[in-house]
Amino acid sequence: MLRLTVSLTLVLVSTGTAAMAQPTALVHPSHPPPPGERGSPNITVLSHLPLGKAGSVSDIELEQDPGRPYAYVARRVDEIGFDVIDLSDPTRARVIHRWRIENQDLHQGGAMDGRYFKHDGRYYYVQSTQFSQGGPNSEVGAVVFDVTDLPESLREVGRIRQSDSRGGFHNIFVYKHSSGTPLLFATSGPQAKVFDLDRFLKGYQTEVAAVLQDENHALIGRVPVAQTANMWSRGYHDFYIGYHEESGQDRFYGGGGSGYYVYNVTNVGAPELLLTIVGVPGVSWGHTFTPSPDGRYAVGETEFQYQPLRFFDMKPALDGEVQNIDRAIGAWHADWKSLAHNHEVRWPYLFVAGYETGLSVVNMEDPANPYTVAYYDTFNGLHNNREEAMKRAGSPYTWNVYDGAWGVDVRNRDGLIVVSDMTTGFWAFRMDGFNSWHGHDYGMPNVSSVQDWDRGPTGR
Amino acid sequence: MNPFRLACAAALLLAASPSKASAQWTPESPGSDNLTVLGHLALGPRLSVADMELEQEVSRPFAYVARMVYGDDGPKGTDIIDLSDPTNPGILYEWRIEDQDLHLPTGGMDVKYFKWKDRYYVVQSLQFGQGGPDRDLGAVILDVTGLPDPATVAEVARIREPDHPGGFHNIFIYKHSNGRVLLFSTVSGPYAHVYDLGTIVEGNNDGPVARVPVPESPEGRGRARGYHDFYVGYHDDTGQDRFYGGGVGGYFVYNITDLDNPALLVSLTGINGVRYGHTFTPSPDGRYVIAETEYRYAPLRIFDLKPALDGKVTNIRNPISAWTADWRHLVHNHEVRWPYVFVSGYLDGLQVFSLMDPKNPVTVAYYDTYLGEPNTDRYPVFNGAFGVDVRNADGLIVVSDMSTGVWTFRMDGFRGWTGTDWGVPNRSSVQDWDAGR
Repeated sequence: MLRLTVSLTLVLVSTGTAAMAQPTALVHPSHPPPPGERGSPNITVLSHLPLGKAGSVSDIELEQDPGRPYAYVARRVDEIGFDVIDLSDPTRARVIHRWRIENQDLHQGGAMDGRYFKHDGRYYYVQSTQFSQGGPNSEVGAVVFDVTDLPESLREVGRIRQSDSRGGFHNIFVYKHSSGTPLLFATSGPQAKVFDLDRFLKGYQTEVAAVLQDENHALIGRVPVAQTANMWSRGYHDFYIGYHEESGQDRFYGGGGSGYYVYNVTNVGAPELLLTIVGVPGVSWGHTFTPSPDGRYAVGETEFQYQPLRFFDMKPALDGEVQNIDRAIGAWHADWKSLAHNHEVRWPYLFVAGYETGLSVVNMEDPANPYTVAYYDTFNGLHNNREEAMKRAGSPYTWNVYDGAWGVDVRNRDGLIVVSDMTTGFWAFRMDGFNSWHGHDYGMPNVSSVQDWDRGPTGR
Repeated sequence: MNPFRLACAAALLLAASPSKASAQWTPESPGSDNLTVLGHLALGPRLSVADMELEQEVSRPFAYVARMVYGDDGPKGTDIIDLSDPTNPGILYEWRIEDQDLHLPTGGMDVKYFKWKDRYYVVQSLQFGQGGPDRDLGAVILDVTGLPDPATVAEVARIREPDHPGGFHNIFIYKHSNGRVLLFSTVSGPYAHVYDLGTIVEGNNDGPVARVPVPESPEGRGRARGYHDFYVGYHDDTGQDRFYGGGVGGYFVYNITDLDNPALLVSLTGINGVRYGHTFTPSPDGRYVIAETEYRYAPLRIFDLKPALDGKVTNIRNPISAWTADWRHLVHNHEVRWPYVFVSGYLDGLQVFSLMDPKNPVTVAYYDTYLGEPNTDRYPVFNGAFGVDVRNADGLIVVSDMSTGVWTFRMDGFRGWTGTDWGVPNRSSVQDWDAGR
């Protein structure tokens, strides 16, 4: 056996370069940040709109087409509905419409996720809602609006109801399927439900009163949660659907159950499980889950304090070597005591709505070593403020980590970044050197959450 | 409180810089200025060192280091280290399982010492894999009374569990209020085993005298339960002997004053991000606990047990704070010398943080004993500082590093530890073998 007493000096000299290759990354400031240091120098605030009472803001959606400079911010608690924000001058953002559910005081819950789509030359916005059974509309999962005539007006087209699984839709995703049909994926019960939005809209063009229609007339599919032992949840929390160019498949990336799940949903009526990411230490439940444009890597969030965003390499499963991935190859945190929330991938950048840490932009070109390249603290408050959480929520349960930047979106054609902050409202930013995004510019398929409503994912 | 110690503590806390908590080893700055490396003894192959134990009497300057094979090579047994000169530690004796090559990994894991009827003993926990001999062997007991003369070291007993093959991953030795010296061991079953070490070293090895169950939880039912680690301590307020176990489902506190009837006092289950409890150590007064769960990115969580101990709730699921050296890594074992927590932090080496304000833990000292990168051939963060111990008499700190061996340290202003100096009961992992509680 080697038995050698080594002097400290020798050890230090011989191995002293071990830590020299740490990636150079921006380090988020302490919280609250010193005056004037809320953001990195490469982030410019274009505008900021406080929207009301703290905690009343949820997710955000940004239209992509030229000539339609609109963002939609979902509202909850005392202001249930959504705000339409005019960004024709991003430095002078302004609210141009405020839609609120009727009889707000009777409703328990709020509006959560929002997505827009274009179909047959008209633009629509889908606002997900979650109302509990102690008040009206607990069966309503989403309200669909025709927003073609913005900035002048918007019109409610109809409501998507699901009486068999009340409580509404926590998250939704609208996807232009390779079949050409705009589809709404919604969290509902122990699966994701898929609604044909063309069929939904046509249903509301008849003279039959909406309340008399079959509420499932547009429901065309259900994506199950693959069952495993000791599941934390039976349903999905969030998902992303994207076209996979290499295989020609429409793929569903869902977070929920005991982790993350990828399905082939080319045939929406018969989803095919491609892989699971379960049994990951620290991940008992998946939340937001977004792939890289080529579908090889994925970013997974789990909604617990102290949990970083994890980066997974799905290649071993996609190649058929394994069926399940149980280990992350990389991870990222803005502040390990907090929690990051929703995100948008514009490879190699990951735009993160990081709750109390605000907006962060992460470079994930090497998914094993992601690092921060820009940030702006939209929340600007104390982290883990239990006393405030007690006052606001009546419980220190979350330590108040569920406050701050909820949603983020990016406009591909010009790189405009928008954030919805639960407490401070709406923000618009620019990041130096990021003036647009197209996947081909980065050697990737041109796939992101942004849809080509006219040509679909295959470009046909 | 001793004014000198109070002043030292204040100085330590003032000197602490939270931003250094995530500092990495560099040639210019391997550790904080308030931590002095006394000695270092390399012990051989990478990933061949497991836990360690330090005798507490200054007149017996011996440490015990478990040896294992987690990498490709290494011995299987125990190294006995001479610390008569802490600046120049040396190996006194090596105990090895016979026919090492036939025994499949891992080998020695946890190691503890005890004193019984004026003789000193070491218990080395063992784990051997399927396909080789001694899968039923959980521990070996060595009589080390005659140290530093290595010729006097003698094996006196082996503890086997044929019905629970796989050995003992962790052990704890506790001088019970009934006067018996008890060995608590993990076994491959839904409980911890309790052995009477006095009777075993006297030749009466009749198996466990008690079991402490792991409660059923959504994470584990039936036999799919087990402990990973535990601590046993006397609770002055109630006069109870208390068992603090981490295992499947989370963490559990039992009153084991009556060994035949362990009574569950508190459970900590349903904690977000915790499915399996690992190391679990209380403050000297039993109010706060430090809890580890063994996966990358997990911080140490600090819990306040008061609501459960007061009978307001039966389960605790929300930590009051957390601490980590580097969120990308994982910290491992720890020793509480209130308000300090001495941590063997795997890739981050030795770390010391203060729980003076349990809601706001603050790093007060560190030294990175591990000089390499994360593993690529094993779980990435399972390398570096595995075990840590503290000698209460003079504040000597020792660390066993899986790859770099044994380290000895002193922390400025920490010249020993007695609970009453800090206004808390004089309770730590250190036992009073003569007087008991």
